[in-house]
Amino acid sequence: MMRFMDKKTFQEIGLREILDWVPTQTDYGKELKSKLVPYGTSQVQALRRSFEELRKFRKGLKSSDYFLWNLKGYLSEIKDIKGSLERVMKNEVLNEVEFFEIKNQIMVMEELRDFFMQHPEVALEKFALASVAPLIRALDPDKSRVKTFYIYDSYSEALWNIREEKRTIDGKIMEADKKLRREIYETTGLKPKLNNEILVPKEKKEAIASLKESRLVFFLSETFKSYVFKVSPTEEMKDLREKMQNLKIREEEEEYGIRVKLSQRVRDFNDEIQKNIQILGELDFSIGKILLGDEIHGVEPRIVKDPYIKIREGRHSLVEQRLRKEGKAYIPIDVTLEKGVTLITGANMGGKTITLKLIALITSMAQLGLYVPAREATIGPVSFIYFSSGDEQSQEKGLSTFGGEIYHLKKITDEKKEHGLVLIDELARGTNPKEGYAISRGVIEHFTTLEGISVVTTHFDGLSGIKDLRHLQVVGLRNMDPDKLKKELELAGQGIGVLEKYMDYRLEERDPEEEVPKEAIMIARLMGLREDILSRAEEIMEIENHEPPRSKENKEGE
Amino acid sequence: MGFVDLIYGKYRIVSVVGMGKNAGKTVVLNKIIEEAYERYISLGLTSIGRDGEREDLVTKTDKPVIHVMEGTIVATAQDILLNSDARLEILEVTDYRTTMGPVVICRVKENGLVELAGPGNNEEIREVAKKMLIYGADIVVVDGAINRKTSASPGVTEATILATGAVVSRSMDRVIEETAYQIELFGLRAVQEEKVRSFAKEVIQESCVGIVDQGDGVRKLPLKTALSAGRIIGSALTENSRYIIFSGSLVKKTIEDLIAVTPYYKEVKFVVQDGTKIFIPREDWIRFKKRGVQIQTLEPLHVLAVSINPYAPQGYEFPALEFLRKMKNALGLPVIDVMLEGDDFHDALYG
Repeated sequence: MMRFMDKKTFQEIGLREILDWVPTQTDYGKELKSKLVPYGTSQVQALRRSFEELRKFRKGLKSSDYFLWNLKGYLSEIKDIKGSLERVMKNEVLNEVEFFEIKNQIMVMEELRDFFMQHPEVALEKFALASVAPLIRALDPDKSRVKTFYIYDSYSEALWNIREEKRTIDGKIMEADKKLRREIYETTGLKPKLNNEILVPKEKKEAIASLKESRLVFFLSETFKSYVFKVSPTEEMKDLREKMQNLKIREEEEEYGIRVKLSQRVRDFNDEIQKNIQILGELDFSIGKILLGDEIHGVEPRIVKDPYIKIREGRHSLVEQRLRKEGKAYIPIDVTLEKGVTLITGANMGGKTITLKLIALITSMAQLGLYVPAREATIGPVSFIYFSSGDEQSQEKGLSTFGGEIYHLKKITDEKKEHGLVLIDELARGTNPKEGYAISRGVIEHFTTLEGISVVTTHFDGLSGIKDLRHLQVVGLRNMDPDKLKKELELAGQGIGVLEKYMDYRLEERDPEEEVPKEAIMIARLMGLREDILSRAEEIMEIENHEPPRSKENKEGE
Repeated sequence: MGFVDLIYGKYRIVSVVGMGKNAGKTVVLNKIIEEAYERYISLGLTSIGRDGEREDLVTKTDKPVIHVMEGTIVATAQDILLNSDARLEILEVTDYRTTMGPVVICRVKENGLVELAGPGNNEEIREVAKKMLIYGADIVVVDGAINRKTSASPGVTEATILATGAVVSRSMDRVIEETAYQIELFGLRAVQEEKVRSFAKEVIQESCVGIVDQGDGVRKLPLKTALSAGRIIGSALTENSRYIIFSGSLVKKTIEDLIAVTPYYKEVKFVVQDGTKIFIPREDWIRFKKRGVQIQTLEPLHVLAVSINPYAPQGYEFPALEFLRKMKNALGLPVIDVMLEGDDFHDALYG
């Protein structure tokens, strides 16, 4: 991803947030998403195939109300077992919990495999899971088909025998214990407690005497009011307990041997499980892509060769969501970009910045194989995307706005052969208008020699005249009657809402020679800036209009 | 009458809480296990874990070691289960983490000893208990603790068995008073106002201290606990303050410091999660009440029975029958002497 776009662009155009919107249920899907790489300029066929597959899967998924629910059910059982697989490949021996988790997961894999067999509508070729049935049999020796795990008696005859013997001895110990307690009761008239202690008040001299004489108990301690005796186990019981201890040790050794063998079995199936894990991730992420598409009302872009971008009714999903929350409608944008330079001019607050972000977002989403927020989109993959917001502040390098912009420009202008998409918002606005204009002109002229697509927004006059340049202009307030606007503003009393209401964010193809529209003073007036300042500004404009072109507006204007 | 008679058919999830070490909590657990085994009642067992402690501390603290019977459902930490004496079938590995690995739900395949180390917060305990019911337990018993170090509370269970005994004091009357006091704390009035309840949950979740003012929201004070913060909280009170919510435990010193710096505390209700979070000696509690301190809880604990142990490990003991009779009279609750009845159960089991 970093070669395709830098972190700042990734963040600023909203792609980072959009990827957060792709829901994933499993660690495998999450991992796939985090390692997502865009299809490059030479991978047009692969990108098309990816969309074809997604289309087929989507169609299948939507053909039943239950499919999504079913698949999500399987995925909800998936936990990350890669750690255990790594251990097993290092010849380590797994523990019971790990076997439990592997057993669970491979049973889900097998269930999913059956599900795909029964429902070819959703069974993409790439979802063909490998069979792990023999491993399931190894982990479910009693064929109980239950997703629990235990080192079952049936794993080895030795284990079965040990456990049988344990049960017999356990019974014998209970029997001997019972007998001993009965004997103590019969000879002393006292009953030992659960912890095998007998407490006798000191005044019961007779009982104490009989206890002291008895070989069945021994004196343990003395308290303020009583004596404490304890049952002394018989030789038989000691013997049985020792046997029990030995059996437990043998049982553990036997269990260990079984775990070694089972770990080996898991190892034999490593390839199949790894392949299936990959598929689970793909499945999870594919569902995520479809759900994202639904969320943003996205469409499948048409993919063409060579850098080309045509967006009909494109929307920037993050802005759209914000507006929707505020109860406002989003005005979609149409834009077509070909190799070469496109200049966008237009009113302040005319949404030029959002338009640039939208172009970058839709192009990158298409190249990531995601549905795009538009009515229609045709995208020819680019080799990189660069977006400059014109207010670069490179804190750690100590560069100013201008310095930051130039720092990045330097890198971009060196990549002549690349089919990149370069989007620059208000080129060179961070310096004085005269030099800013000159640098812009130089940069744009250089851009016309590049192989990729460049889009530059500007307030500078005279740039649109450069040869081989397309000029798009924000419709803005051009078609509005200023008097009507003013009246509306007086009624509303507050400028921004009315401006947003009447601002036409769409782009129109203009004559290359056409001047940058002069709407800043009007907008300032609509927003209620002091009239004396505005009339003075108009006076200055009168004079300036007789002089050579330069920046018309205050550079901090937008 | 045994514990299971008191529980079965009335409650599905109960906790056992001991008044200090050696009060007989583990004996109660073991007795419930035996009674249930006898009556073919399937049990689910877990404990409230201690969150936020380092592993060496956790492994040192005494978790109840109990002898479990075949068929019992147990929820305990992975590392403990892998080293347990009882043979366990793994039913589910939950997402609830402890310092000893995730909490795993198992079924006992062969009798043996097992340690209980369950999840450390209420939500998780509730979920684990529900899961154990689904796996077939008729009753779930949660080993609870009166412990300052856990955010979890026995309040998640439907009813509580309080284990007390001679260990609490050398004076029998004193033991009875202390036990009655503990039950009074458990049964403190619950906060009624829905809004305050939801603030309280928020504050407890964020483990801070919150002040609710009349007509306003909740002001959260950036104190981790209120252990030595009485003065800061006191200074933050105004005449409009109505509730102070304590996320951790409420100790004597906090109240003392607090009422020393502000006159507004009389209008304020002190809110804690439940009665196990109050650490105020009984004499001080009486004094505070007289001075107008009011404490309420988010979750009152319903004590269904009290178990007593007339023997103290320090070497003294109470006359068992007198202790039992006096305790019953004082509390008006079912009281069971775990040592006395031990014999009867023994007869039933082995006799």
